[in-house]
Amino acid sequence: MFAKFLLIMAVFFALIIYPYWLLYYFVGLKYVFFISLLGFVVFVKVLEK
Amino acid sequence: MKKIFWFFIIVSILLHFYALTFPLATLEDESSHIVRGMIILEVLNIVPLWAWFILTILTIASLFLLYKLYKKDVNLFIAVLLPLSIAYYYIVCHVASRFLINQFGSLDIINQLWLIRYGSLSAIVYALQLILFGYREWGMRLFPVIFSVFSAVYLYKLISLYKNENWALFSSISFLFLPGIFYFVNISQLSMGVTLFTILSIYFLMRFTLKNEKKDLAYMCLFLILGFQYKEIFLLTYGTIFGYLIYFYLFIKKKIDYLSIVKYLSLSLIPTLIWLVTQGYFNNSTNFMSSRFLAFNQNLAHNVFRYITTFPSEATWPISILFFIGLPFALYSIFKKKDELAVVFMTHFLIIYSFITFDSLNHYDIVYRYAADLLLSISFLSFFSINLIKRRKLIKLISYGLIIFLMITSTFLTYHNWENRFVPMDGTFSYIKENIPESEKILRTMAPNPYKFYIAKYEIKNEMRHIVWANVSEQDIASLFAFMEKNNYTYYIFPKPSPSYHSYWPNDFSWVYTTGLIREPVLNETLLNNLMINNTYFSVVYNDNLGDNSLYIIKKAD
Repeated sequence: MFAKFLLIMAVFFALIIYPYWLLYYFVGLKYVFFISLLGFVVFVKVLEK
Repeated sequence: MKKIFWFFIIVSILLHFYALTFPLATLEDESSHIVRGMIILEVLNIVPLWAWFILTILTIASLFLLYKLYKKDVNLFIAVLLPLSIAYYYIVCHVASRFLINQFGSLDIINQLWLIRYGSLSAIVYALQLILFGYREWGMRLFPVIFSVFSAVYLYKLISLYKNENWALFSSISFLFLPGIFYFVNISQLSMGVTLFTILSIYFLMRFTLKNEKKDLAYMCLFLILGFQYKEIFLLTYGTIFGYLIYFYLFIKKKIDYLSIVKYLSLSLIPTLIWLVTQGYFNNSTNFMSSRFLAFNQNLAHNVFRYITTFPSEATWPISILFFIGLPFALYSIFKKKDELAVVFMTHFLIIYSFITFDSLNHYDIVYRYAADLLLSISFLSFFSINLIKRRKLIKLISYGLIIFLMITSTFLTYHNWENRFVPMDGTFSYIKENIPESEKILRTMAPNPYKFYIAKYEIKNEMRHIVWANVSEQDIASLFAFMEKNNYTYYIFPKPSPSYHSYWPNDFSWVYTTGLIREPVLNETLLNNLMINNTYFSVVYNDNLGDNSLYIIKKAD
C-alpha cells in the first residue's frame, strides 16, 4: 500500500510539476500539462487493476 | 548483518569526514550541480519566512491526508489530487516567472538549461542540502555519503539473497573503499545516487522473483523513476533488468508473474519518456540523450580497451587482477550453475562498458567518472577468484586484508597532497568581502568553477563577470587594461597557470586550458606570468596559495 502511494506521488511529481512549468512558460505548450494529467490518471488506473 | 559490516561502514564515514570540508573543486562538475540547486533555492527565496513555515506544514499535512485518502478510496484520491496539482502548478509557474523576470529581465530559456540537463531529483537534492546546511562545503557532500552507505547496505542485502555472508561482506565493503568510489563520495557528484538507485531497483526485482510479493515491484518501479530523475545515464539500468529477465525466462524457467513485471517496468518508463521529450525541446546540444545513444564511434578497435586501462587506478591492481581471474569462473557459474546474481552484475558491466566505449562523448580521452559506474560489478565479480580457495579461514583472511589495503590506498590518495587539487577559494573570497568596496567590478576567467557558490557563501555584492576579452594570441597587458578601462572593471582575478589533479588520477588538465582532445589554451600563460609581478598597469593586491596552486587578485592602475 505505502509502496504504491510513494510510486504514485513520484510519478505525479515527475510527470506534472517539475518539467511542465518550464514547458508551459518557455515553449507555451499549454496542452502538455493536461496530456500529462491524463497520462497520470491512466498510470494510476493501470496500477490499481 | 554482521557487526563487522557496521564497523566498516562507520570507518568509511569517519575517513570521509575531513575530505568533506575541502574547497569545491575547479574543473569538476561538482560546482555546476550545486548551481542547479542554487537556482531552485533562489526561486524559493522569493517566498517569505512565515509563508515557508505555513507551506511546509501544509505540504506534510496534505501528504498525510492524501495517503489516508489513498488507503480509503483510490478514485476519490485522484479526484482530490488533480485539482490540487493544477493549483500547485500555477503557483509554481507564477513564482518562477516572477523570479526570472526579476533576475534576468526576461524569461530566458538559457537560464533554465541548468535545471533540465538532468532530471528534477538531483537538482532538488542539492537545493535540499542548501536549505538544510546552508553554504557549507560539507553540506554539499553529505548526500553522496548517505547514498554510499545505503548502497553498501543494499548491496549486502542483495548479495546475501543468493550468496554467503563472506561474499556479501567483501563486495559491499570493498565497493565502499575502491578509490574510484571513495573519490566520488567526497566530491559531490551524481555517481553515488545512480549506483544507489541501480542497486535498489535490482534488489527489489530479485526479491520479487524469490518471494513473489507485489509490493516489491512497486518499489522497483519507484526507484526506476527516481533513478532516471536523478541522472539520465540511469536508463542503462533498464538494459541490465531486461538482460536478467531474458536469462530468467530462458534458463531458470521458474514460474513467476511476468506480466506484472512488464506492467510495472512500462509504467516506470512513462515519466521517463515524457521527460526525454521535454528535455528535447530545450536541449539541442550533444548532451541530449538521443544523440548520445545514436552516435557511435568510428575508431572502434582503438577505443575498446580504453577504459580497461583505468581499472588499476580506480580499483587498484590487486582487485583488477582478481576481477580478471574471476571473469571466466563467473561465466562458468552463469552457464553451468544458473547464477542469477552473476548474470545481473555481468550484464551491468557489459552494458556500461559498451556505452562508455561507444559514447559520442568519447572525444574526451578517458572520463574517470564514467568508469566509476563499472566498479559496482567489479566489487562483486572479483570475489569469484577469492572463492576458489577451499579453506574458509583463508578466505576471511584475504578479504579482510584486501579491505584494509583498499582503505589505506583510498585514504592515502584522498589526503596525500590534497591541497594540489584545489584553489584557495575561501581566503580569496573573504579578502574580497572585507577589502573590496561593493561598487567595484571584478573580472574573472576560469571555468567551470565554483565561483557562484563562494559568491553566495561570502555574500559578495560586487559585480563579477566571466569574460575572455580576446583570443589567446592577442591577450597582453595593454589589451586587458584597455578592456577593463572601457568596461569599468577595477579588479581581475586569475589562477597561477599550473597543472591540477596532482595527487589522485594524474592528468594534464590545467586551469587555463580547455578540456577535450585539442587542448587549446583559454588564457595566455605569458600574460598571466607577467601579471603576477607589479607593473605600470596593474598591481597585485592579494595572492593566496593552497599546495601548488595560487589565486591572484590584481588592481588596475587609475
